[in-house]
Amino acid sequence: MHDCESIAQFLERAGAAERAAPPEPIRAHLEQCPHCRELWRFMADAEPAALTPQAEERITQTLLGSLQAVRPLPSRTMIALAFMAVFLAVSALTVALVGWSSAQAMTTLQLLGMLAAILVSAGLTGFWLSGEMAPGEKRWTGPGGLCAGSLAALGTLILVLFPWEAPPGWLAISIKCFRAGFVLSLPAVAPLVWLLRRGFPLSWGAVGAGAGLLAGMVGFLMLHMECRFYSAPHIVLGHLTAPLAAAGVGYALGKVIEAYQRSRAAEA
Amino acid sequence: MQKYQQADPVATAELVRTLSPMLLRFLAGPIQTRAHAEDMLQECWLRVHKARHTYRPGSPVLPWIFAIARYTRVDAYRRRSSIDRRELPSEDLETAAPGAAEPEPSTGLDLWRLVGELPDSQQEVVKLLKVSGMSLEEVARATGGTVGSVKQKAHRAYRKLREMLEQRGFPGGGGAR
Ligand SMILES: [Zn+2]
Repeated sequence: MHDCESIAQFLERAGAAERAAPPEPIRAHLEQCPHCRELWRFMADAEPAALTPQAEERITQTLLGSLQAVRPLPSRTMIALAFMAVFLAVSALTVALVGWSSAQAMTTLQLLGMLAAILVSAGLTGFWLSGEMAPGEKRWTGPGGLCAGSLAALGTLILVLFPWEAPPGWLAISIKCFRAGFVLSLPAVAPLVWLLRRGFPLSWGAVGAGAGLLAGMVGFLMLHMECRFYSAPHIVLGHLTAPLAAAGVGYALGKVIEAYQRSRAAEA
Repeated sequence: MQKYQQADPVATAELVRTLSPMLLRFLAGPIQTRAHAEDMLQECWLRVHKARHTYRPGSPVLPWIFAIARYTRVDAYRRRSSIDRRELPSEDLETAAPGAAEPEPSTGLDLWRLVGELPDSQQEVVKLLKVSGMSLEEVARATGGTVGSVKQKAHRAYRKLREMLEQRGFPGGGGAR
């Protein structure tokens, strides 16, 4: 026997065809329950709204007026790989420039554990970003979830791998590290924007946050390879804040772009 | 859609003809004037046109196009937030649309009104499910959410609608049916 609640559950999952012709047990309930019947009837009828011939003609002519063949965006995987390539190339350049003296001083676990986490984090961010470039792509989390997830995972790993001590002067050094990490994230911005330019993001704020996070990871990686101040509080406060700040700045810039676009659309 | 990307004029006109009625219904809802709704539709198609290279051949068209439609709608509402959009009667779209869904216009309208009382995010999910015939997964893609959240919104909306129908003794009166 079906009750009203299970009818609603069925209706959630029903496709258009099932809604048009409900299976027998559902139909039995609909026949005796006027409220479910009404709701079902409402959901089964798409009620497409006919537009005036003039409107249809106007729209068609507008599109035909500037109709040119376009090259479809590459697949999400391809774009994600391109983001990863940018990340790796800029990171390699930065490390080559700044140095990797810390890499020799760390334990293998500290070095490789963090490197692996950074690479996974950057890869996921790149894949997420590739989805933001086109409308209607699968999205498993928003920009806030992406940043929080990435940074929390990295933060946890830092707390596990590095000693919990705060030697004197750690705060001042943290500020120095943060500044260097943030500034050295900037070179990644130009190639990322170049990759993003072909997209049609529906949320520039989200794209800004994702791109900022990815660029900030370059700075974070550079600090990991060069900074020899092994203290968990320092690494969290001085290193991990670089991608966090970069994501925040990216988000803010994205919002500025959105506001600008809206004001232009309002003028038009 | 692929032919549209390749600049085929016949396919382009066909696409406008087949998708516009559901897009218009989604954009308009029950609370718009016809002219305003058609303006929004035109704006939506302009965005579709600009974004047409981002459609990936082989993937479903509806989540892609409704994601743009949703964005157009949110944008238009934001711009016009100062205008009281509830001023205008919902019948406008029905009566001005010859050949629009004629049967049982009154029952349809009353439920539209109840839908209008739902929270915005639930309204949107109900409209997308109703108007486009998309699956939960596709609606999730169109709204940039997860399947779980879409499902929850649909569930809450249906329950609320049913409660409202019960409380208001609807469908009453015309008990003939
Ligand atoms: Zn440091």
